[in-house]
Amino acid sequence: MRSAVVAGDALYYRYPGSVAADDVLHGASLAVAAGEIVLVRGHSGSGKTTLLSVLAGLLSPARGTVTVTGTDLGALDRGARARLRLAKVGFVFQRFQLIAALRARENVELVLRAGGVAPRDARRRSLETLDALGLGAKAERYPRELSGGEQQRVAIARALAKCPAVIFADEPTSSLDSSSGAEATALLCALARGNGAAVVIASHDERIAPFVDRIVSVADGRCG
Amino acid sequence: MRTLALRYVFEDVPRLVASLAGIAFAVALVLVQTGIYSGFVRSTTLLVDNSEADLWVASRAMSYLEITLPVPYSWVARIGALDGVQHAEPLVLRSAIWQSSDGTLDYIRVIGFEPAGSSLRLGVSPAALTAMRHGDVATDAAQLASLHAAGVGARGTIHGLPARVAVLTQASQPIISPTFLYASLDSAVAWAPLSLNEIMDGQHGSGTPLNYVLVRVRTPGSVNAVRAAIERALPSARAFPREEMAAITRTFWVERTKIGFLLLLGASLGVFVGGIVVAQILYASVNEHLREYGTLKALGIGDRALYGAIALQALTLAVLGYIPGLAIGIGVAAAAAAGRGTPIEITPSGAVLAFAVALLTCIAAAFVAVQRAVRVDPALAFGA
Repeated sequence: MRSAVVAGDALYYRYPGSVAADDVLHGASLAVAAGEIVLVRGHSGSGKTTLLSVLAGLLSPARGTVTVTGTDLGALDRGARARLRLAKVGFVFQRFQLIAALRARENVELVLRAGGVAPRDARRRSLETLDALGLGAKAERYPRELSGGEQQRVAIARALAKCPAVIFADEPTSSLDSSSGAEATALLCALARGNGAAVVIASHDERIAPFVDRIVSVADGRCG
Repeated sequence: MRTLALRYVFEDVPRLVASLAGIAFAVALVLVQTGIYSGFVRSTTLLVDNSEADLWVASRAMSYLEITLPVPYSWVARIGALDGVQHAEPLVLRSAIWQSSDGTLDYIRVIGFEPAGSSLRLGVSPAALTAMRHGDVATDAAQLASLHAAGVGARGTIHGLPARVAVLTQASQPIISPTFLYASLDSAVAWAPLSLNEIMDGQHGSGTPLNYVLVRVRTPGSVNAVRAAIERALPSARAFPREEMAAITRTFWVERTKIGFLLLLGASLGVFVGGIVVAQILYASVNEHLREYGTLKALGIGDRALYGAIALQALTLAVLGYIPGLAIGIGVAAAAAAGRGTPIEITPSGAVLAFAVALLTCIAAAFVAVQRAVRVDPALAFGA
């Protein structure tokens, strides 16, 4: 087994104000290796999204440990976790979460520039990535000028352009029709695999299964 | 983040216009209030500044320019005879009532001087002053409305005696003093003899009692020596260099009237209102983009970058709001000067101060707004 790029061990999480019986994660564990693509599957409310948020360092677990590229997130403060996400983690969100005031290219450039990439390099890399996703001709368009499938491809470009160690994708097909969803998933998985990035996809969409290396089911806050 | 910050500023034009109006309002108010203050302070000493006297000789009891005891006319000759004195001229200040030809009354200050002398320059040619006859007055062009006078040649009476506007001067009227009428010494004394109190003081001796003797020294470097010689020769006199006389007068007005405080209060209110407008608008903008700020935080963009983006928005608003604010301030000053002759001085230091105020106001407003942005939960991005 290759060493894990992201690993969560015996994770517990409960939302503020709730009690132990309401734990969303109840000893969940998951490890994903470089280049591996894992589908985290489960019913609505099973804890898939919470598991992704904890593994990505967006939420802190009540118990358990999370390591990303060997760094224990529990040992980092908020700022250091943000810096680690900026450098090592890519995201694809359910509703794309593009910045409406920025063009497609600028959405991709934003994270590169924030990560310290020089302006010219950031522009080149963002255009190359958009081109690889078939959006080279629409790089100067604003999100509102793109279809849902195109917006999701911009979001994938934003996640991939910085060559992250791990990409978290939350319900990446739920806002797309079936052909756009399949196309976006295929592109994400192919390009991530090419970059050697680990990918964790949370979804209940069965059509994603053919593109992944492993399927993990989440139920009652545990990974099966 | 710079691009994003600027897009947020310009994406909503009505909101941008409202922000700029708030800042422009605050800037214009600061400029006008500081302009009124410096214009007021400068105008209190116009009579002194318009003189070419090196020394103003007055009673030792003088409080400031317009409150002093009379001195004997004989001082003119005694001072004129001292070593180092090139020229000594009398000056009287009298309060009186002007009645225009249509019967309207105005409270006035009569300044009696020697029109053919060299002590006062009123922004007109010496020949125009020398041509003034008995009963003629010179007054600031902006005061014609107060006197109910149409222009040169307008007639009226002062304490029942005839008077005629003969010369219009420029920049010779303090903001809050009664209308200044400049006339020959003889006319001034005829219209407005000393009050009973002043006569009872008994210090003036024979001849017309004066308020000041204006002195020009023979050599520019000898002012202090001549000053000492005058005070030695006339123990009840004090001689003030022109700048010192102006400073005494300025200090009196600033300290006694508290006008600086009142204008500062007005400007502060403007800044407060402008600041609230900008803070509200920036806060609304952050609220509107809260999910996007959450996404940025999830992507790993740190608080420092968010602070920087919102500070840049504030800076942009400050600069863009300052420009119309400056234009409004200058316009108001020009209109006030043209309409009522009110000197509102927009100085470079006032303009810099207004910019600093705009900047600080916007930064303070941004500080309020940024708190909302940095506290947003990055997990919000996954909660969509």
